[in-house]
Amino acid sequence: MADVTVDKNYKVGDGKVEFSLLVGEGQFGRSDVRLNTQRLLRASGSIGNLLVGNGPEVQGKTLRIRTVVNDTVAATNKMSVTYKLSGGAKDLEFTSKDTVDKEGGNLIFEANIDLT
Amino acid sequence: MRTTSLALLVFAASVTGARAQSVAIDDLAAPQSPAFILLGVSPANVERPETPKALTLNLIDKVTTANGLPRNYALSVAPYWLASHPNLTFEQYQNPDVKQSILQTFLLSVGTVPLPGATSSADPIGTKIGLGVRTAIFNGRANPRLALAIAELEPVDDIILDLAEKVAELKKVIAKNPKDAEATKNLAAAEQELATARKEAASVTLNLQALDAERVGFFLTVAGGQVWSVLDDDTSRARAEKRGFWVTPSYRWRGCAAMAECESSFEAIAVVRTLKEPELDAVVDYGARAVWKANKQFTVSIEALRRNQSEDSVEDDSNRTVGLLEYRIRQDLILFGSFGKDFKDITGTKPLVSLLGLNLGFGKASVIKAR
Repeated sequence: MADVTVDKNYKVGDGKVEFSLLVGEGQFGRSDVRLNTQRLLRASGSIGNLLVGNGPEVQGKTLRIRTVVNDTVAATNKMSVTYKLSGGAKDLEFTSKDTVDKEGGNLIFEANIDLT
Repeated sequence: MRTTSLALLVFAASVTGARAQSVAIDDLAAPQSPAFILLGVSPANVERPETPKALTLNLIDKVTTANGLPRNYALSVAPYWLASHPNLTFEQYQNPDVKQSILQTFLLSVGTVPLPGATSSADPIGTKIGLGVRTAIFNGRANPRLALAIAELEPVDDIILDLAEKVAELKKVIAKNPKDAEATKNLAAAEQELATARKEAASVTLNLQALDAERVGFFLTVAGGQVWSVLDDDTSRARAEKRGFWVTPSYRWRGCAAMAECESSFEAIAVVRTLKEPELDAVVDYGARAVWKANKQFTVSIEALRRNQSEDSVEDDSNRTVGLLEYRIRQDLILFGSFGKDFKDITGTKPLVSLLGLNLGFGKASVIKAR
C-alpha cells in the first residue's frame, strides 16, 4: 500500500549494516523501518546510521522502509526520499521521487531491500 | 463566494483634495513581481511554470504564437523550485542560512505590454519588456507554533503508517487465500480508514503551510527591476526605460508566549524605494510603520513616509505621518480611523487626515477544503 515503491538488493558482508534516510525537498516526513515484520524504528525527518544488524545475522531478511511525506512546502509539490545502506560489500544509495497532486497532500514511499 | 466590502465614512474632515503625491507604505514595500509594477500592469493571468519542461514549453509556445516577442505576457517563476532538491531537509528549509534563504525565496518576474503608438487608435510600435527579481536575504525564523503543528501531524502520520502496514498484511493474506471473506472485509475497512487519515493529514499540513507565512524575527527583502522599450520588436533597438529598487527590512514579534495560540503581534517595517526614469533624477521614497495587533479585534499602527522629488520635479519634497486604528466588531464589520498629516498638496499646504469609517463586508469568505 504505497504510492511509490522501489525494490532493491543489498549484498551484506561480515560487518555491521547501517541504514540512513533523508526526506528531501524541504518536506516533512515520518518513517517506519522494519526488518521483515519487526519494527526497528519509527521517526520523523532524517535517520542517520541506524544499526540494522551484523551482516550474517540479517542476511536473507528484508529491510522494509515506509515513509509518509507531507507537502509542508507551499513553493513545491515535489517529494523525495533518499535511502543509504553501508557496511556491506559496497555502499548503496538511491532516491525515490514523485510529485503530489494536491496542495498539502501526502505520498507514501516504500522501499524493500533484500539483504543477500 | 467572495466578500465584498463597502466603506462608509461617517466623519471626514479636511481629507486631501488635490493630492498629487499620494503613495501608501504598502506601495513602497518590495513587491512580489517588480516587473509588473514597473510596467504598471496587474496581469489577470500570470504563467507560473513549476518544472523546467513547463517553462521551456511555455516560452516556446508564447514566442511561436506571437510570431516574435509575445505581448501582454506575464511570467513569474521561482528558479530554485524548478529543480529537485533531495538533500534539502525540513530543518534546512525552515531555518535557512543567508545563501539558502536567497535561493529558496528568489522570484523572477517577466512581463510584456504593447508599446503604444502616437495615438490611442494607432497600432503598437513595439513591445515593452519588464524584468524583475525579488528575494529575502533574511527570512525570519519559523513561527513557534510550528512545533505544535508538527506535534499535531505526527500522530496522524503514525495512524497512516499503521494502517498502511495493516493493508499490506491483509493483502498478503488475501493473496494466499482469495476467498478469505473476513480479510477482504477488513481490507476494505482499513483502506477506508487510511483514506480518511490521509485527508486529515492533508488538512493539518495546510495549517502548517500557513504558518510559513507567519514567520517571526528579522526579514530583509530586496527587489529590483528594469523596463526596456523594443521598437518594432527589434532587439537591436531596445532602449532602457524605467527601473526601480526596493529594500524592505522588518521585524515581527509574537505578542504572547512561544507556544500559546494568540493573535497578538507587533511588527516594525521600514521601506526604501528608488525609481529612475530616463533623463530624470531618481525619486527616493522611504518610510516606516509600526503595527501593534493587540488581539484579533484591535489593531493600532503609525506610519511615516517621506518622498524626495527629483530636481526636475515641480513638486517639493514632502512627508506624511498618519496613525491608524482598526476595530473588528464582527468578521464582516470593521470600524476604522485614520489621523495625521498628509503630503503637501499642490497649494503647498499639508492637509489634515481625519477619517472615521465603517467597513462592511457582504457575502461569505472563500473556503478551500482540503481533500
